[in-house]
Amino acid sequence: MADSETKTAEHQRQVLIAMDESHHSDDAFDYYMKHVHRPDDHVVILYVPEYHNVIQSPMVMTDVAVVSDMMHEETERIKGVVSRLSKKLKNIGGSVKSIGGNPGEVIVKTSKDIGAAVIILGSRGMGTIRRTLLGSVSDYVMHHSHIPVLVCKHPDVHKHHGHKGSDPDHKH
Amino acid sequence: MASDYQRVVLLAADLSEHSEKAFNWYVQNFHKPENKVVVVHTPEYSMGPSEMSTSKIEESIQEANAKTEMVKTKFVEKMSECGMNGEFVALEDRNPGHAICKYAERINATFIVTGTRGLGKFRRTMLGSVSDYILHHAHVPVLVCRLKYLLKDDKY
Repeated sequence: MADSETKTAEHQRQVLIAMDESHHSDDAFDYYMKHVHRPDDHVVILYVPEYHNVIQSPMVMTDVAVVSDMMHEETERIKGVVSRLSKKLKNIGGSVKSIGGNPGEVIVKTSKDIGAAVIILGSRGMGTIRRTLLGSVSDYVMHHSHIPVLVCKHPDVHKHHGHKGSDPDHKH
Repeated sequence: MASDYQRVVLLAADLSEHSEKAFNWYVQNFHKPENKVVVVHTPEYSMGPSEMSTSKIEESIQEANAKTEMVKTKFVEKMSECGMNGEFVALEDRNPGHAICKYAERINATFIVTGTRGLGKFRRTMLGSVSDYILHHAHVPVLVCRLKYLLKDDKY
């Protein structure tokens, strides 16, 4: 297969891994490293921050000072997340992007912008309804992507599904 | 990385171009030489309730079997061309998605590879989508090879 050898020598493969703060994303990243990663991959971790606090408190919108405080808090939080995600790329070539907007749309658009070969996602997290096995973001990306998508499922997802009792998955 | 663990990749296939492209893409981008690949095919019997005569049923079955043979031949050849450790399995089930998910569990697949037929929203609802089913029901990661950009120019 001389063809594929010259291809990899010529350019790095761009791998887009969409992540949020949930452990599903971490699992997806680990899965990628364990089963998919190739030495010359260039990994782009995409984080689409959601401004939780501000959006969920409509009543504070009247007080500019409070809103700007919250925005500041959010900005700091996002910086923290980006920093944590960057650490994952320590030994491999890559970068972290943080782009605001509708997660599904941002993921698909970014994949086109960077010329990604594949998109890697967790199956939940990113503001999904707990009942579903496939989150709304993964669903969106699945149906709008022009390139292959790897949806990583963690065994956890199926332990929680259908359990009416405690849901240890507290994070969003 | 000496480990007893061997990756088993389950690849759902049929006679379509999408399937072939998904396989090719997998080989170029995800395959590792130590992976074991299992290509599966679920024959679809096109039988309506009105066609219940014995001869019609026999015909249907023969047609489906002939197709399965074709898929088998095609992919066994492709797998040996790539020099991969692979095998072909025909699964029996009215619901291909269900068959694939169950089989993946049975063989402890590391992940499932499927192509898509690129059906629009409406047709997906009416005809059902195997890749959608697999995505929602599989207990392991699923690689869905959407290859819209390849349908025009055949780089693979």
